[in-house]
Amino acid sequence: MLLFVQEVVAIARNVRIKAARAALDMTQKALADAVGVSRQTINAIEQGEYNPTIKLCRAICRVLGKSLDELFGEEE
Amino acid sequence: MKKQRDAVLDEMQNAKLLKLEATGLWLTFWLLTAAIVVQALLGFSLREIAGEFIVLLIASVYIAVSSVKNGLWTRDSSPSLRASALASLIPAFAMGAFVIVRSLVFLHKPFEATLILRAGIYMLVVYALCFASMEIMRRIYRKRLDILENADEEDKE
Repeated sequence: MLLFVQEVVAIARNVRIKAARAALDMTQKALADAVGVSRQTINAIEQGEYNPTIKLCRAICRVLGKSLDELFGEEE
Repeated sequence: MKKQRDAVLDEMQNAKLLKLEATGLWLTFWLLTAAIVVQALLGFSLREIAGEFIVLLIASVYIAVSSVKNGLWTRDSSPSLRASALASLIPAFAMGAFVIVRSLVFLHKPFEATLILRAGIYMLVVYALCFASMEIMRRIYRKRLDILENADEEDKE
């Protein structure tokens, strides 16, 4: 059950970042360059394979114009 | 210098590299241990295996001291008298097996009661040394953990 919940959160996170990026017509590479990380890191975050530090979360939010809750908050 | 190195990798790459380095460290640690055991079984003298032995000793002391200093023991168990007593059995039995195998297989000596006695003495000595070391480390760890957990909030520690 816990695994299922974690998977749902990971998938949701993936979709939210990807959607926010797509809305700005931004590639993974462009977002990576903007926040100062590699493209593989952005890809891993979107895939739910890597949990970024709060510092990187905030940088991503700043670039995508979203709040921490909107991109990384738990689903209701 | 450190800043330059950090700037090359981002946080995920850095975390991955740390994981790879940790795997590499443990691989080296156990392979070095295996190399020392095999060389000792084959009858190499202490002088011949001293290099590997010193490297392993330095690495072991570094890991143990730095872990305790940071209030860390192991990932999956808490230190206790029982844990020390049980964990010390592993090197003791390994030593006993080593003495018997070396004598029978590599030195081609006959199986005698004195061999069992010798293996038993070695086992007891290794057990006592390991148990004493673990208990000393456990006490230091507890003291260190107390300092770290009860430090003033303004303090760095």
